Amino acid sequence: MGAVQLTGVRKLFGALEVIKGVDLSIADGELVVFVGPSGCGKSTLLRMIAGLEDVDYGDIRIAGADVTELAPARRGVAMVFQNYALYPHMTAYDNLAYGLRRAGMARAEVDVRVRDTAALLQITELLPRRPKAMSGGQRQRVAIGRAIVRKPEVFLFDEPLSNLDAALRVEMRSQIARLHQELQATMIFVTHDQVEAMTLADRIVVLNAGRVEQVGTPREVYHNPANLFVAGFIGSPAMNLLPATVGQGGRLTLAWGTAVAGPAGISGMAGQSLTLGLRPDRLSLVPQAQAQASGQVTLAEHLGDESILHVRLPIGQSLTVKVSGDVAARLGDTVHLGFDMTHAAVFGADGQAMREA
Amino acid sequence: MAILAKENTAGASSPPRRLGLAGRGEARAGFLFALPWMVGLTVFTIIPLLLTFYIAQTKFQIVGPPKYVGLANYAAMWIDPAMWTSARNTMFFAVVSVPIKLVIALGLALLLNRVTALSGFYRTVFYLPFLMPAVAGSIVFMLLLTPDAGPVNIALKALGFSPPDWLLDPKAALWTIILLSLWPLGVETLVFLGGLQNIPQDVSEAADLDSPRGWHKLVWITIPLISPMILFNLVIGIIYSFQVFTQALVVGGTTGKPAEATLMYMVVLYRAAFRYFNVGYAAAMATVLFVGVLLLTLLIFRTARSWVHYEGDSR
Repeated sequence: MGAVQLTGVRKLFGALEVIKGVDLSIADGELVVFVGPSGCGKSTLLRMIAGLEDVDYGDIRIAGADVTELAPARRGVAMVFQNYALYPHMTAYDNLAYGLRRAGMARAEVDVRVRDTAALLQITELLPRRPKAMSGGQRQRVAIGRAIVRKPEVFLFDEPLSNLDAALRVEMRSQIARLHQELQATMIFVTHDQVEAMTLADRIVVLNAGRVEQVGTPREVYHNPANLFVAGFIGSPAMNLLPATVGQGGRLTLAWGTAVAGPAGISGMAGQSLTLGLRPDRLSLVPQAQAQASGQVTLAEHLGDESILHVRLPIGQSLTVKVSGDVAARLGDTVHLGFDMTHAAVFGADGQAMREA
Repeated sequence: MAILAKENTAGASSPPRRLGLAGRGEARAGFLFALPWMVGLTVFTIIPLLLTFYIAQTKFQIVGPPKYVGLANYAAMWIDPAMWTSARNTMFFAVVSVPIKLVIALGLALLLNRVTALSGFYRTVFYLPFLMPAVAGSIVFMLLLTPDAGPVNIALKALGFSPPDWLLDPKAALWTIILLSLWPLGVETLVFLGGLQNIPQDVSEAADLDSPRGWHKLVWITIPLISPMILFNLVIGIIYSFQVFTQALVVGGTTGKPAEATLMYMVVLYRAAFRYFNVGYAAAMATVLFVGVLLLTLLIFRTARSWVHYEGDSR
């Protein structure tokens, strides 16, 4: 298996630069998830690693070898596509065997490899079937099998679960996680689904407008977002971003006049504007006497074990609060909120994180 | 929920026996929409076809009523050396020209499929010759292939070859007609191009990841996926090739000169009908051609089950 190294990688479609200089190191055996909003360039970057898109500037190394100019099939990568991309005129067996046969592998060895892979993915009964006679989940397992059977250096997954229904997506997600543990292979997974990213990744690469905004473990990007974009993008519901001003003694004064403890390094920044980031689970319902903010519930999403309350403060600021499912707050109720500043993030005027409060 | 499931199952297993009012209205509308085409098919295809089979059993010379002669016209065909010569030439023409035409058209379509800039322009350029009358095209080719003054032979001589007399050498003349039939290729090329552009991009990319060799992808992925277009072009090509007429008439006249080397079945048929006014004989030839091409087409369709892949096919 191989490490992947991207150095100064850029991609232009005409005058439009879609990948704006990406430097990234992915260790051997690591499962890295590219996540970002639609059009951020995550699929393009994956396709550049696969060799399906040309690299305009920079270079890509896989297992130490420069593969920037190599044909896709010579890079030692295998890819699982969003729409499965199975060969429709071939059975599942032939889909798995095709690449091995074209590589000149002996028939008996092809058979062993195909049947071993099918057993691993529990798709043996599907081998005689054509893609049209399979469900979406079965097709995706065959597509994963087609990637595994070649024993590539790197597995590339381009939003492979987005066409599956919710239950199947959860099942396939755990299957991919199991496969990663069993194969100990380098995997790069593209998704716009944060749950997939958080649950699967060893490290997450957050992309925005062709740039890498942050690379880190799921905990790092969740608890210590590098900037306002990552803070707003990672986590569902999104982090509350509250405008604040640095007051005397290093305290932060929020827009509605409440003062909260600020990070240590801001005591000399009195009068400057900052943004305080608080996850919805760091806000709680408290008695009025202890409240740091009060407002009216504009939307209550009851999800069973928890509820998401959208609260509008009198000054117009909206806050999202995650509370226990037992809380019976309803639309129009007035609620009082307390802030837990553990893992609160503070962002400077340039949008970059300053430090934990 | 259980009731709903039961109803759904029942609905799926037993389709309604009668059309409702709306269904009947829809069926009537469908019939009315299809009616003009059905009238055209009856008047211009089915009736002439049946008439041809009838006239084939008559002695009919345009003037005067047809006289029933049974299978005499077919018996006359059996012993007509011109018919056998033309049938042989036509079969050779079909067997050689159709595969060559399909291969060249596929090659052009593969090239056009790679063109991203000016693709519309190239498609128009390839299709335009199809709009030119075949007679005009054949005459242009004859001028190009003129033995001494034709640019083709001038160029071949300049390169050190000794080119044949394309039009009068019995060994070369049939090949000349085959050459003429390869132009234009617009329709076949565009049909293939449509098939190529219908191949999902991710399937094509998966093939790129599976093998670095372009011909692997062509043979194992591309050609099977455009096999319905190959079948279409093959069937249409065979039907047209057995009816080759214009090029043969322009090059070889009604005698198939030189030495009947270019005498084609349709030329003999035309000669019988409009030179000798032996319409019954010509009709007999037409029915034999019809049945022969029909059987050949059915044979191709039968073999197609094993090599044509349709998108919705789960076999």
